[in-house]
Amino acid sequence: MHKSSVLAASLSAFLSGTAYAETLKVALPQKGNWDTGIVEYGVKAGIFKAAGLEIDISYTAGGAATVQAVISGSVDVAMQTGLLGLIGAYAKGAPVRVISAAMTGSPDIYWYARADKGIKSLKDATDKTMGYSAAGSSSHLLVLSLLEQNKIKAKPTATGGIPSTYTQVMSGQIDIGWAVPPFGVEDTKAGKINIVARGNDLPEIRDTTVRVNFANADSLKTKRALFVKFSEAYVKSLEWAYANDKAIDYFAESAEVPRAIALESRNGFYPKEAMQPYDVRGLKVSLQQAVDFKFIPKPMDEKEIAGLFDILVPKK
Amino acid sequence: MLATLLRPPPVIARMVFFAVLFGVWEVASWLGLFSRFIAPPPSEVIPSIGLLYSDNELITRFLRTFGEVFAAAGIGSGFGIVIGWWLHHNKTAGRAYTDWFAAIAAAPLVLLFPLFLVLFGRNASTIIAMGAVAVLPAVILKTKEGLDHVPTVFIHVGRTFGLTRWQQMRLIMLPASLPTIFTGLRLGLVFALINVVGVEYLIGFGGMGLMIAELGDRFEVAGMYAAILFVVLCSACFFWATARLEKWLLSTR
Repeated sequence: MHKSSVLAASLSAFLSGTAYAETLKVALPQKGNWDTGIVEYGVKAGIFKAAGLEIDISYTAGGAATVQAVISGSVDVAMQTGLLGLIGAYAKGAPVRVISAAMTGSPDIYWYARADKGIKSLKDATDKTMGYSAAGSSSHLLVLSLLEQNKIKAKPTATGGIPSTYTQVMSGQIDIGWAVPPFGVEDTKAGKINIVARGNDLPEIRDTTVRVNFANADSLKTKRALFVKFSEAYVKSLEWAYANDKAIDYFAESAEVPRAIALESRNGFYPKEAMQPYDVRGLKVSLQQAVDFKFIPKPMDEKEIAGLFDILVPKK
Repeated sequence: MLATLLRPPPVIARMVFFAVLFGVWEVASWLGLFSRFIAPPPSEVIPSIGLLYSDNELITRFLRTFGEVFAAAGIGSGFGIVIGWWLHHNKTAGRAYTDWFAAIAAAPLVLLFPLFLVLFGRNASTIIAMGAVAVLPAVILKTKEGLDHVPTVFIHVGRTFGLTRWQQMRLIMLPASLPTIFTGLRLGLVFALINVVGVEYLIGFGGMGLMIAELGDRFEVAGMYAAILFVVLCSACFFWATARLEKWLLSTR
């Protein structure tokens, strides 16, 4: 073959290869959780690469910081973000679009007490202090609903993040703290703490989508095919993670916990159905919560918020 | 006339600076140079201060934060002046520990908030304690510096008049070192404000810091900037008020 032909062929192969692997910047709100790790597992399993995607992962503080990162274009897609915050942002005109559901119900969040305190269920929680992360957070909302549903007069108390809540529970500053696995699973097994309540104890929450994956509306217009490709790869990663034990190894590695704890966390707190990406459910409940917690100034109906959703995952 | 325009009084110069700053910000925002969802223009931010008052209990939160700031500044200044005096009085201690306080002044003490949470719990005590710790180094160092630099001749004159040690401190040392001590107190007040608002934001408890966090979480970006602007304005007012107080105290020496 002529030298110039070889050079042209190599250059062409190089250029086509580069164009094929398109890069997408993805924000994850928390490292070391099963649900936020799905993209990581998919990357490690080569699912995104096979779809022609190069995934650039960054971790954010969640909430408004994630929304601003997407709006500014610092990231293309953000995963596992609270739906209420997005409803608030959309109502104020922010260019955000939900591209898939991420968590329906709250099977992961739970409340616990020190085993020696004798608090075994919410019935024992009367006049006790019960933690949530911050005012207006999903844990706050769940605490209020749990107490109302069970007619328990406990004292909801803001306790901050998971590690600081744990410190306050173990030092006796508050009676009941909140957490998300794998945090606390080892202590539960060792009998140091009792699980007092779980997010999914609330029937109306069980079928309400609380977290979603979303993208910038303008980017979605210009790079729609890329986002569709990403969403398809995300669904494949999700299916793979629940079918393949290797995902548990990745989860254990990311959360820095023993494999057995990672497995127990996944099986006990993250049912596959809760992570279905296809439908955003219970929107009526979410819209009411958005008003109650001042995410939107006045009530909105499902039609008014319909523009927020542009679900890209292929129907099951 | 031209000279007045070229050299305006400081008040006018400051107002012109803010007018230009806000004008550039407004125009840049409307030209779309940056998203109004990230940095809303002043025409959206300034009216939001009114909404903070009606929707977000601005006055209650303001009083809460500034109550914590004054408590922290009071505790920190009280201990700081005593420790500063001790470092001045005890030469060995002064040589041994002054550098430590200088190092502490440069450390990001706000990162100690988890430790304070364990010690004091998630309440105003943690915020006040952290604010007080932030006040300490500035007051200690400036108190020691002020006392160290009292002219020796003043002290000799006091001795000539047969003043007791307490009279020496009250009538000579303290008035002579007051300008430097006041610089420490003003710095301390600013550090208290920064730390109190910062810790409120971090632990999600209290007044203005919590309000900023909540507005951010609800994506009330204009309101969030309005709250930050309000804190900055209050800080400027306090700085001005302490400067006036210092001037008045020095004039009564």
